[in-house]
Amino acid sequence: MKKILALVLCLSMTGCLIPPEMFKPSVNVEVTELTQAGKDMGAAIDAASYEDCLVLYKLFGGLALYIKESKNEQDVGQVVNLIKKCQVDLGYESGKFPQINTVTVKYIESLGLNENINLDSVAREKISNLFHEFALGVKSKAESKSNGKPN
Amino acid sequence: MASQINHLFGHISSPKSVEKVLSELPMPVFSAFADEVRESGKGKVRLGYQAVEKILGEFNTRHQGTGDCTAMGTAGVIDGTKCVQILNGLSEEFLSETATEPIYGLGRIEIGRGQFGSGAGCTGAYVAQAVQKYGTLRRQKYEGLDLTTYSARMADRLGMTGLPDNLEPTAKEHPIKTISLVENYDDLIDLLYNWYFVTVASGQGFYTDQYGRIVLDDEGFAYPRGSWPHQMHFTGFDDSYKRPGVICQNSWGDCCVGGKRYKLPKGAFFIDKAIVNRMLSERDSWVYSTFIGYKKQKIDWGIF
Repeated sequence: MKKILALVLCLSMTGCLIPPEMFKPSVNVEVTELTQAGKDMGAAIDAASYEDCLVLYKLFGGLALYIKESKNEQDVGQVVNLIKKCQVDLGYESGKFPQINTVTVKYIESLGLNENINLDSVAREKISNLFHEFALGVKSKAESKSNGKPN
Repeated sequence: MASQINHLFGHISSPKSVEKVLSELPMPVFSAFADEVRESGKGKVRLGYQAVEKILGEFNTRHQGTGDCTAMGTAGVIDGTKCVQILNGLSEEFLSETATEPIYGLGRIEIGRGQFGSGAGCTGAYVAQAVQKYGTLRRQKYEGLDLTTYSARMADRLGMTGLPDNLEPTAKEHPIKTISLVENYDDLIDLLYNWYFVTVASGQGFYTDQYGRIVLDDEGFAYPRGSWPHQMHFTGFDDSYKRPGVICQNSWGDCCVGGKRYKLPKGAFFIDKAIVNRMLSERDSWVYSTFIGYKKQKIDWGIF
């Protein structure tokens, strides 16, 4: 009985200590299985080498994290400019895998992000989630090409 | 006159500058080209500010911090024009409000050639010609110039230096196509009825309380009193009421106290027809037509 009381007390005290906003449902659900977008991206880079996959994984994964948190970009056009800069920094050769563009444009359009709209939290979330799915698709493809190379 | 508002007056009366601008315009005086809309506003009501409310959700009353009232009135007219064009189904979008600081700089320096020296202010004619010849920028960051939020200091700086040369090509992408002088109440209400907006620059003052707030009577009209070298803009009228008047939008934030008719935006008040005629007869009030706006941009995502 004492143990139950202690547990109830502990839980209720913890409840009091945690600010209420912490109970909001998490918007970002970790994607553990490949979505169709991820699969399509994986297929788009079928011809890519393991090293190319690593660069693309860094690109999509890094952008997914950055866009979600950054407040620097005010509209979708500025995100595109950011991506171009990241490609240069990572030494990525634009146009090497044209199917990436086909897949990207398809999903971006389905999200209504092919116009230069303001980058509010919803738009950030959409781009971030899509790039996260792309990154997982690339990761999966990289793993299939690794042949014992380190992850 | 309350001392709190003295530094906000920046209209310079200069008939010479008005004549110079008029001499360069294809449609200098509106009344000569008014046939299509003549008498359309007679006995009617138009609350033109509602176009802005519809697009922006709330009217963007400005709050000036220096003697750049001419730019404030001009930017207000351009924003109103933008909103009407969007409501008319033009494929445009309202990305952000028109920046006032470049208008002030362009009017004083690029058009006025620095003739006003170090003192504040400009003519209505020069800022009108500035947005027609040099165009506009909007509230955002540009290379070397952050116009995201209004800065009185930035206005003062550009008022002495003009717009940086590197930004002139960008500004020229978004000009006002036509400006014309408006000289009387009848022409004014015809324009307002047809969803045009009009700047008003004059020496007419209005009664303010000890805090510099404009005091309105029970019907929402300001009491004409004293002298204000000031520019504002007209956003509507009511010619159907027993007391005809025009809605004037000021740029001092929420600056009016007293009675109210209609749900006017903050800083807006009625002016009696006779007073409006007196203000317009000073010949530095302008109608702006057709803003070359911001087309919705498609983003090319084929970048990988």
